[in-house]
Order: sequence, then C-alpha cells, then structure tokens
Amino acid sequence: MTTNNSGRGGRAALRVIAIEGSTVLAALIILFVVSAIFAPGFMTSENLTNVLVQSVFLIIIGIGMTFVLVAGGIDLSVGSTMGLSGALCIYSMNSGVPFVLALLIGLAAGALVGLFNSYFITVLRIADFIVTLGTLSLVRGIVELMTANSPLDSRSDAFSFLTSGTVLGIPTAVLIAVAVILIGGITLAKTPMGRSIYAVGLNPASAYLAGVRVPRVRVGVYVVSGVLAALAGILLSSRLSSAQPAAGTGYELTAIAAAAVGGTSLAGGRGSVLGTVLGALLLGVLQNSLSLLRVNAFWFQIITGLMIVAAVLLDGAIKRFVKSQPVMSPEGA
Amino acid sequence: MLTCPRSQSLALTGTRLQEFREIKRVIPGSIKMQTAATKTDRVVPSDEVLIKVEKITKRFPGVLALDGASLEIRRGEVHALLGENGAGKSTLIKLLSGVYQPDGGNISVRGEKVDIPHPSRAQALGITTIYQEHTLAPDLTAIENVFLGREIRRTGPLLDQEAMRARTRELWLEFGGDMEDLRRPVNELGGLKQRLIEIIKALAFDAELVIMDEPTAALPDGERANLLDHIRKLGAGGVSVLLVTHRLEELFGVADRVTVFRDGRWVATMPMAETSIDDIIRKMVGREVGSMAAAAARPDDMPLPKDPAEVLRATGLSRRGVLHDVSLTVRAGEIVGIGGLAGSGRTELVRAVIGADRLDSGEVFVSGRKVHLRSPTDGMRAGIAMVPEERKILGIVAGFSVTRNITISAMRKVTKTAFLQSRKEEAIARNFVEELRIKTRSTGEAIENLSGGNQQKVLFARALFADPKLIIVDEPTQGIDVGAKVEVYRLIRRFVAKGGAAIVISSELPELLGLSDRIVVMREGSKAGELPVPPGSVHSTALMDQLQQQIMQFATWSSRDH
Repeated sequence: MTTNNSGRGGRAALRVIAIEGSTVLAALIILFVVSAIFAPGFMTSENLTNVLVQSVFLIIIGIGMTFVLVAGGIDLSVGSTMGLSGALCIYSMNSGVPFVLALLIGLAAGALVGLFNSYFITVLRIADFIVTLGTLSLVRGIVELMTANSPLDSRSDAFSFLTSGTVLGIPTAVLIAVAVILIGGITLAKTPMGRSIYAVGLNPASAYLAGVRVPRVRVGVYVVSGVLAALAGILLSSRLSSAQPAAGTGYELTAIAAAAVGGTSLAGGRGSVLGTVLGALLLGVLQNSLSLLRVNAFWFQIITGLMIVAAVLLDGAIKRFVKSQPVMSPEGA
Repeated sequence: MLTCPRSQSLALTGTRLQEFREIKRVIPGSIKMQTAATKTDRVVPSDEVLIKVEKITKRFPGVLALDGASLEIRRGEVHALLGENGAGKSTLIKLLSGVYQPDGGNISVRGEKVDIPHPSRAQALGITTIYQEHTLAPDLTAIENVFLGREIRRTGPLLDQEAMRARTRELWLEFGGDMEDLRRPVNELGGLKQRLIEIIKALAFDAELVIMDEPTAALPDGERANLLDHIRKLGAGGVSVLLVTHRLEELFGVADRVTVFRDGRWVATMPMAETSIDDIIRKMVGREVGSMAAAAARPDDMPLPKDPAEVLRATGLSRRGVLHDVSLTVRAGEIVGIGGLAGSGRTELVRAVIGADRLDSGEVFVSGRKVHLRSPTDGMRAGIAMVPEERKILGIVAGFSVTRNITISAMRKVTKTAFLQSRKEEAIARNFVEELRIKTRSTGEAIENLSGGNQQKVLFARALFADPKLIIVDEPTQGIDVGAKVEVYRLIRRFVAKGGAAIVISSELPELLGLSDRIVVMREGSKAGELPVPPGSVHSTALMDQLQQQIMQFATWSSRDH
C-alpha cells in the first residue's frame, strides 16, 4: 500500500517533470542562486558575460547533437570537426582567402564531415557509433597534421570580432548563438522536417512506410550536426585567435551531456532545442562556479558524469510514465 | 544442472532409459556413452504415448490463440501438425518448448503432468525445437554449435574437446556427413547441412521429441527431399518428430499421422495413410464461412462499376528470391484480395507496389502512367497508400499523438510557408476521429494508449488523409475485436464506393472471400492463381466452400511438384 501512495506522489512529480525542460530549468535556477551566494565574484557582469560566451560553443554544438539524438543517432565526431573547421578557417585566411569565404570553407568542412558520416550510416549501414568514432579519430589526425608543426595563429581583427566584439552591447558570439537557437528550435518544433526527425527517432520502420524520407532525414541531421560543430569550432578558434591541435577535444561528450541533461532521450524521439540550451547553460554555470570556488576541475567531470546517468534514469521514468498516462504530446521546443 | 531434474522425472517412468540417466548422473559428461545404444536397442513401439496435450488454452490480448486444443504424440512417430495461419500451431510449439505458458489445460510427458516454465526445462524433458529461422551461431563450427552453452568439461574450467568432437562425429556419421564439414564455420555449409547440424544438436542431448517448424522452407528442391528422408529415419530410430509444414505434398511417405487445427481448436487426427490432400484441406478451412464473410461482403446496392478505369497495373514484378514475375491489375471501385500462406510473398508483393523494396525488374503504372517508385514516399506521391501489417511495429509511430500519426503521411497538406499549422492539424484529426468513430480521450492522446482496433482506424485515417487512388491494407483486422473488424470492412467499402481501389491481404479466408471481388493467390513468391468472386457468392454456402478449397489448393499445392 505504501508503494501505492509513493507511486501517486511519484506520478505527480513525474507529471511536472514531463513538461519539457522544467527539471533542468529548476536545476539551473537553484545552481544560479547557490553560485550567487557562495561563489566569490560570480554575480559580476564581467563573469556572467564570460559564462555566457563560454557556453556558446556548447550550446551550438549541443543543438546539432540534439538533432542527431532525436533522430535516434549519435555523433561522436563533433569535437574533431570543431578543430578541423577552426584550423581550415585560419589556414585559409593566412593564405589570403577573404574573411567571408574562409568562414564558408570552415562551415563546408563541417557539412562534408556530416555527409561522410551519413554515407557510411545510411548507405553502408554501419552503426552510427562506430562510424562517428572512426571519424573522430580520422578528423583529429587531419587537424594535428595541419597544426602540429606550425601553430596557426590568426591575425585577422574581423575574425577576433566574432567572439570579442559586441553589437549593441551584446557579445557577437551570443547573438550568433541566439540565431542558432531560434532557427534550430523552430526547425525541430514547427517544420515537417523537424516532425520527420522525431518520427525517425521513434520508429524508423513505420515512418518509412508512412512516406517519411528516412535516409534523407538521417543525412540531414548529420549535416546539421557537422555544420554547427564547424561553427562552434570557428568561434572557438576566434576566441583563442589560433587553431590548436587539440581544440574541441572532448566536446562530443559534453554536448551529449548537455542534451541528455536537457531532457533529450538518448534512445531517440524525444528532446528539444530549448532543453539542450538550458542543459548547456547549467554545465557552463557549474564549471564557472566550481572554478571560482577553486574546486579541482576534475570534480566538474565527475558531476557531469553523474548528471548524465541521472538524466538517463529520469528519461526512462518519464517514458514509462508517458506510456501509462495520457500526457501532452512529448515534443515541442 | 541439465541432467538432474531430468533424471528425477524419469525415475518415475521406470523404463530402461532411466538407467542411462543414472549412469549420466554418476559420471558427469559421459553423454557420449549413450545414443548409440538408445538408438539401436530401442524397438519402435508405435502405441506408447510420449507427449499428451489436453484441452490446452492460450489467450493473448484480444485473441484466443488456442481454445482447448489437444494433441498426442507417440514415441517414434513423425506427426504432422497442420492448419491455416492463426490456427494455433506456432502457439502450441511455443507452449511445448517453454516459451509461453498455457492459461489452461495439461501437458504430459511420458504420462507425467509437467510444467514447462522455460526452454531449458523443455530440453531437460527431452523436447527440442528447431525453429524456422536458423539458430546456429554462424561463425562457430558444427562441434562448437552442438555443444554451445552445454560444453562437456574436464575438471575445472577446461573443455573436453576430445569428448565433444567424438560425440559430434559419431552422430554426423549416422547422417552420412563429411567429417571435413565439422571443422568449418557452419555458415560455410549449405542449408541442408545446417538443418542436419541442428538435428544433431538436438540428438546430442537426448531429444525424444524434435519439433520442426517449416524445416524445408528455405531449401532447394533436391535438398528438401534429402532432409525429409532424414526426418523419416529419425522416426524409425525411435525419436518422435512434430512437423509443422505448409507443403502438404511433403507429408506423404514421411508423416505417420496428421493433426489438423483450426482457429485454435483441434479438428482431427488421422493416420496419413487413411487421408488425402483434399480431405486435409477441407478440414483446414472448415465448413463455416460464417458471418464474417457476410459482414465484409459487397452490399447489393453497391455493385461493381461498369467499365471502370484501371488504377494500378503492375507487370512482371521480380525480386531475387522473393518475387517471381508477378503481375497485378486493380480497377477503380474494385477490391482485389491477395491470398496465400504466411511467407508466400503477399506482403513482398504489396511492398514492391508501394516502392518499399527495390525491384530487380517489373513496371508499375498508376492510372495508366508509368511511375518509378524508389521509396514509399514515391508511392504516396503516385497515389498509393498502405496500412501495413504488424500495426505496432510497422504501423503506428508510438510516442506521437493521434493527430501526428494521422498527418505524418501528408504533412505538406498542413504546412504553410514551411511551418506546420498545428490548429489545422488538430481540426483535421478531430474530423477523422469523429468520422471513423475512433475512441480516444483526445486527439492529443499518445497513440499507444488506444486499443488495437482504434489504432488501426488511426492508420486508415493516415492513409485516407494522403488522398490516395489505391489503398493497400495488409492483414487489416489482425488482433482486433469483431466490432472493430466490421468497422474496418465498412471503411474499405466506403473508400472504393467513392471510386478508390483497394488491395487487401488477409490470412482469414472468410474475410478475404467476403471483401474481395477478385482474389490473387500467392505461393512461394509467384502468382499461383487468380479467381473471381462472383457477386453474391457469400449467400451460397456451396460456392463459398468451393472458393475456399480452390484458394487453399493454389496456396499449398504446387503443380510443379506433381
């Protein structure tokens, strides 16, 4: 009988949690308040701007990852793609390619990585995990070849402006991130393509027979992921004014963490851009306040790991709940 | 672990077999001592009952798969179990092999009532099942496969390779196999040899009943005869065989007795020598065409249109190993039924028509225009929509609301300047819910929370919303209740009454006969026959009987073999 009671309480809690993004928003608010009270120097405008700009990379790359995860896939190559696009971009500019064209070259490299991944996944039917793990290593090797002997430093002011400049007092990088959030969020939530992505993640076999172009959707999400990773990589190298051999390393896991913490199901079919943005901000604030508190940086990794596991457990609980109970449709940005 | 419960159960039977088990218990791993003796010493008493199934019942949500069915298998006989799709054969096999638990009735082995709560218990009782899909580990050798998970051990963790090799060789020799084969991974061996290795695997662990589900299904003709030969020898060697097959002509000279099931019930058990194919077919289809056919039938005030336009013409559809030169025409206002047994190529045919599978050759014309279908999206664009079989796996998108499940096939109809219009979607869904009488709390309800029949209606709404010229429905009433069935018939009727065309696949003959104006019967990927169903046939019992028999004959009897 106790199970019955706690079950009812649990149901009420789950009903709230099932509302997209509510848990992660609550966690973000709590963390923010705690940081404001305990972390010295957290509430200065300088620090808050810093947190925001630092989070931009993760937000952008996390949105790409959300597309892939919702479609039921995974992309482990995004960290390496970040490194590749940054290096290509600076390399092009240093060889005299105009600024805008150099940016396009960087983004095109990301699209190419996405096409490469999706060719092996959709045409040759190799597991996404394996393919993108291979790409991770392959692309990282290229980046190291490009940067190892002669570090690539940028001398372009326009390039630096991407992250250090402001427009109407708002950092350029933040504006770029807002644009990505809006476009990504609307695409996933309001367009036929977005709806198809959810359908493919939920049940590719029935989506296919219902007329959804499943291979096209799969190619699409990997290209989106590649391009967004490239964009994040360009911004990262702009912020550092150089392309490092190890730039972006490890971002694939942080991006998955941001998406998972933000309520995206690693099994596909559920998730939202807004949730991922909140997840990325949560990780950003956490990292910042831990460093302000002079806590060893390894703790950030440990806590991130625990949050991923907790998020997956919660996702399972929500799924069972949704199954047992009519809830509002589980999608939406 | 394997030998112990078995020895106990046998201790009660008091046969000589018991002694072997005793020896085995004393000397673990001494299995090699035994079959040679068992096989040669044992006479073949044909009256001793090995397995008895009494009044067994098995219920699944919405379906009574077995309804008080009975079966008796004697020691050393090859017993054929026959019936249409859905007669309950597979369910019975799964009950005997411990995959399912019965809801009522008894199973006795050697006169003892038994529970078979899991597959390893079935094995301990001497019941081994060889399923239709191959279950050998493809990269392991025959020896490794035979002893997979039941390896003979020396003391400690080491395996007794020698004992396992010797045992496998001994059995393989009995089947006249080549010793070289035993060293190779089984996937390098042909279908026949793989089947034989599965049989050896059963014998190595003292199977007394080997259940075989369509053992010859994937074999070429020559190997088929060879395997049947071995099956007959198994019987002669004292091992009982329960054989499930759709190829009735295979039974002669192999089966000793045959039992027919229909709709989950026992119909008859006869010695093979005293029956005929015609008799078996008659018993399989039964006499009652029943009210389902009448419910599905074309109403008298809705006659076939005169001189209707051709909606679909498919010619020479072929796909290697699956479809062989099949042609099909469907006209406006007409319902064409596709009959045949499971696995005969019915679903493959319609998947080809909608573009879900690539074809090796063949052409498809919709309303006289040639179309190139490379995916169901193309099929949809050309005006073909499908309500697939296996609703839960291939039909619904679980996790999506009723609304989203309806609009998914034609999202462009609810899209304005690149954005989905959710209000319009809702309105459309509400209309369908009302019109098709879909029982759901709201259009926002997750589809998996609806009953099977209502899920099926949502899938009809999805197909109808795409506004097709031809609608294909594959097993439309699988697992839904009678009321919902009648409503599904009404939906199909209404669609063709408005000038649409329909293709219906059904394993239920009364349904197929009732709905169809014409029936195409498939067999092994080819069109085995085509027969018109004259208007008003449902009113004549004699005519319906005759049609049923014709369909079963096309479906099971190949003229090529005789």
